[in-house]
Amino acid sequence: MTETLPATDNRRRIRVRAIKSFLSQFLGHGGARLGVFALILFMAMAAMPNLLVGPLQTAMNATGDFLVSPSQVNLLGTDEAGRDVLNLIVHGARTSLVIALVSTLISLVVGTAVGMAAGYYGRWVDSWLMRMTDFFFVIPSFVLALVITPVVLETIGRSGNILGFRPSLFVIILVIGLTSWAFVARIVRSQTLTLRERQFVERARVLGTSNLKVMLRHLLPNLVPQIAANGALVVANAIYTETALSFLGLGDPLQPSWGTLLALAQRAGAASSGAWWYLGAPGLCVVIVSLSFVLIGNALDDTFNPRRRAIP
Amino acid sequence: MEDFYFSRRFVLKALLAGTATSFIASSHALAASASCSDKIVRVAGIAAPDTMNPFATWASFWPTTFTYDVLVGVDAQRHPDRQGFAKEWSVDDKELTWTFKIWPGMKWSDGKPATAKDVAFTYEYLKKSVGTADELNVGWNNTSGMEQVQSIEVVDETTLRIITNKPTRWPVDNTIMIVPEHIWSSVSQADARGTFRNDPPLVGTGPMIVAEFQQGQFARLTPNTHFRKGQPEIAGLIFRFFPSADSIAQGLKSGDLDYGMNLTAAQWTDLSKDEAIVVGQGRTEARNYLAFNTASGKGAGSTKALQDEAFRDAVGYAIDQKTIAERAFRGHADPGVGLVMPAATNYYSELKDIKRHFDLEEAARRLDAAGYKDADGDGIREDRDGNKFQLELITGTTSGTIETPLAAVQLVAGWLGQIGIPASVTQLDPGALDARTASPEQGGGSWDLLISGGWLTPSAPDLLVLGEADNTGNNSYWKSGEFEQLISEVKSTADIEKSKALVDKAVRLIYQDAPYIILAYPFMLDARRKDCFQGWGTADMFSMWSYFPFDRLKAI
Amino acid sequence: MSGGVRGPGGHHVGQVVFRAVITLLMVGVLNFLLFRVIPGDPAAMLLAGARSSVTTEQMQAQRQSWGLDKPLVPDQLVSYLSTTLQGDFGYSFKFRGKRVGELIIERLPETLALAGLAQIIAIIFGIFLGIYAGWRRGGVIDNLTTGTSLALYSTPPFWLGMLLVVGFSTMLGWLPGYGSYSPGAGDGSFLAGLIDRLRHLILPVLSVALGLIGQYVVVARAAMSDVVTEDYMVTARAKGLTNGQMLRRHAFRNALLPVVTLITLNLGYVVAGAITVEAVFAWPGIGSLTVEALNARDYPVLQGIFLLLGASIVFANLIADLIYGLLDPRVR
Repeated sequence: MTETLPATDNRRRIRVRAIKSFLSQFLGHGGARLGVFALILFMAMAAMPNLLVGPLQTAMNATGDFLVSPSQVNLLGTDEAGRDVLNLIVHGARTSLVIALVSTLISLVVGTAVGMAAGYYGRWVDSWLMRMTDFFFVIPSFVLALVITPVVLETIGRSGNILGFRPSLFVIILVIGLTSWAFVARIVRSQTLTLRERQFVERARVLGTSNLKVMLRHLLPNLVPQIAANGALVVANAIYTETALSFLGLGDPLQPSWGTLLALAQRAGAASSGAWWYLGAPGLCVVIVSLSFVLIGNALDDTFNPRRRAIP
Repeated sequence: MEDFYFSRRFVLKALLAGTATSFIASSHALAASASCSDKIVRVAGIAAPDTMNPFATWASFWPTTFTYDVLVGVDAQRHPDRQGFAKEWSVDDKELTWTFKIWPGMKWSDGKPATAKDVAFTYEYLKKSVGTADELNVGWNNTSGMEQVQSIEVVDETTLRIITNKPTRWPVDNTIMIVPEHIWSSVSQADARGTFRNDPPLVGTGPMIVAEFQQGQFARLTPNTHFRKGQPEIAGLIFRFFPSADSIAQGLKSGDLDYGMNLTAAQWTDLSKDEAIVVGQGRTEARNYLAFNTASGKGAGSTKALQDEAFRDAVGYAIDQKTIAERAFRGHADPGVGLVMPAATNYYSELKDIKRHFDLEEAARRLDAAGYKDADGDGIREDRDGNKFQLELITGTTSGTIETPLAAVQLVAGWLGQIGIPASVTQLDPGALDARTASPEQGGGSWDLLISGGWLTPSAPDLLVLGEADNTGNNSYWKSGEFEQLISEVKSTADIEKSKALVDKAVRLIYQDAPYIILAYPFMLDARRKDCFQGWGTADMFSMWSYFPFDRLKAI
Repeated sequence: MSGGVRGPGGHHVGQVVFRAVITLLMVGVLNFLLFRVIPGDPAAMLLAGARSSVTTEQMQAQRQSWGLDKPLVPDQLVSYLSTTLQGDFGYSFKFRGKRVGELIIERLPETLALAGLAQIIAIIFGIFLGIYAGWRRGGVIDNLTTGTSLALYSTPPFWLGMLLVVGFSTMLGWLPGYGSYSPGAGDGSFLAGLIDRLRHLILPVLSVALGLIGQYVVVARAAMSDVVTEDYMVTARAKGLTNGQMLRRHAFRNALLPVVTLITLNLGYVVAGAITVEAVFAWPGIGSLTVEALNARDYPVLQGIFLLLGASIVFANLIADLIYGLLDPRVR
């Protein structure tokens, strides 16, 4: 007599196996391993900066001498007010990563919602939503963010701390999130258009499932691979946008992200006085984190859409 | 087969790149040595003039200052060898009639004679606009201080007489650039105030005439063949405008620039190690300050404590100006005291008898005594209404010509936090900052603390501007009847000794009321190359108020 | 699979153009509204230099002369739309007296030189390298190229610019690190002036181009890899075509498709990307004009730049759509 497992256990087993297979495939890519490793490192920095380097150094508690090159005391040298650059970098990791990840989340949510609605409902809903998406696609998100940030800073940015973060950070998150969703929306829409014609959707509709349920229960899970693969690229883009905005002075120098550190370095005259450590360290971090996300995104893409076949 | 195809293209490209590189690199040598042989002085600063019209904007000072003379002004009073349009001047015993002797035989750069008539024209031009909708009060040449001028008479070609209603130093203290009547008489005040661009080549009596102006890049000046001291010995001047000091330091190092100002402390230190470069630091009339929003009613801050002078005075004990000068400015500033800066030697006083000293415990004691205790022991004080302090400190990304370093802002915020008054800092870009610091009637206000700075002339009325009611330079919205009285008296005094006493009284009054805590008086950091040119000043290599040293610079 | 992005295959050219026009109009209207929402009264900014208090009459007169006193909608909007359509972009607030159109046209060549040259270099090198790497997948050169390209793609161009300045300008002194030309260099011969300009172009162009090269290499390589594994490629090889012939006849043209789309899309972003690089190199182009105008709340200039950007991108998208329709055999 053969044992038959209950249906739910069976499903769980299949899911676990699927996840395991996915992970092994994903991590089989060299790039993915590098990316994940680097990200874990930076996430650790972002999660517990105080543990690693102590509280954020300000002009009040700076101990170093001005613009000292890397030494035993200051591994990455000091800045123009004597603050330890390593300390600033580690604290900056938190700011940069939070901004990048949360704004990406916003972009993904908004983009997916718009894209799904447009693809699913079609006709005039699609038309109008695509017009709106076009506009956000047309204006480079960076320029739009550059212009909107002062406005939002005015209306939202006041004093106080929210969850340990200053309001101006939330402003940047909001702005980047709301200007970068067009890319996701387009992709989601085209995927939805394809999926919409599939049998399981037809079946669900015949059974009388509400539109919302169809979208959430049936379409969304199938969209996840595409969203994830492109999501990594969206994060990389968010990091770039935030770094650029902060570099132009829209960041918050009292809770500096890496971009803000670059701006401060430039204003202190680091480039012309040869303070390569002050300039190099924040930038290098941006490159590494951005690269990690790109590698992960590429690996995810390869894993979900295997296209390679050996040519004889 | 395709390997060969590809590699051929690679090699070709590499060859091309190689030859181009050597060609381009070699011309660098040409560029560096050119600066000495062509006798053109290359100067750079952080400036952004948008027009060459001195009536329309303040920003045109560089480079129009090289082209126009001032009648007397700041430099002529400080240095006997740096005179302007006037050769000598005097005032009668009643201090109401000023007589100026103009240099005889002066000519404008286009050859026409420059006489007292042009001075009278320039002043009348401004005076006519007073009170009208097109009042010329927005640029370097402005009507400020002209209220007391009764009449301007041309006695003869070289003599000018100015008669005032009450004694005032305006006739010698004003920094108005004298413009030629034959050019400007056809320009209406409305245009002068706004759209008239005064396109190069300009017509002036200074040593170097603006011949070309590329907005955002540079201005090119040529020597004035009719300059009263004879045509300058240099062949030209190029003034380059930069948004930041980075490029200036690079240019000095590479030899592309002969002089640069607005350097940062880091660059200054770095350049001081360079053998070919001389660095300098000069006292300026700039002030960096912490202002309290003392408005009540519309535009008031988040707590009434800001309107209480006991509160402000107590906070004053928590600010260490010495540390600010040392750590934030790296020693390139004088610690702040009162409204008057050391550069205004006539009026400066260290206020030793009433000066506050840095003592956090003293500050805490005074705050307690004034009724701002920390009732619940959480480290944050409450004001008299029982609300916890949470102050908003706004500052700009740049402030004035000399930036307030962020470190200074951090230090102030840090000390405030330590005495139980948390302040959160918001940095605003210039447009937003202007909007917030405008008067409450115009929609400004609703902030608590401001860190900013300004740079005006060392004349007595300008020194007191920070406390003058309804003046846009008064950022704290502070008003005091007694101070207003003192200001109006200062504005009707021409005698230096008398005005010294008045200014001192006013400075002490405002120090004790403390709507401002003056943080520092920053120095101007500049540097020049040792090669190519001589004649730079010794105490200050480059004047901030006139065209010195371009009337006497020559090639080595 | 063509289930992905829907090209304009099912649409008329006319419909595509119509879409572009509508988008452009939306850009115009939203452009107008956006800049009026920004806080900071430009009239106050213009009078910021006033030493004594500005009277309300003076404020009002200032407002009137710049047309700021009329209600936002519809008066200001209508006058904005009508004057813009006639090609008149108004007068700049900050650079008083200068027409916005003039300002933009003055500064545009500098940005076009920088970004245009960067694009050309990036296209040549990027596609070249990418196709080579994609054709010869695996192997040291491929991995090296891909790795470097990904790294360059993730590098902020302005940071790269600053590093180049530290290296080539401050430390080695070979190239100038700011400005687009040395005043007076062109006085000698035309050639001297040209060389001076080229020397100033090198570092900024490199900063922008390297990042773009990274992008093109990655895309070209991926497109090439895709194509190389497609059915018709296997068939072609089976038919006995040589590598070279395969490359030139089939692979190249089909791999070109996504790359061409990317190029035309990037052309629209030329100005946007230049903003930060121009800040590093004190480059007198549109990018630095945008930052200056933003700081000064100079609405007319900002509107003009935004419109320029919007128009160029809509145009580029249009071209991309049309070319895609032309090139993609599956969509026809």
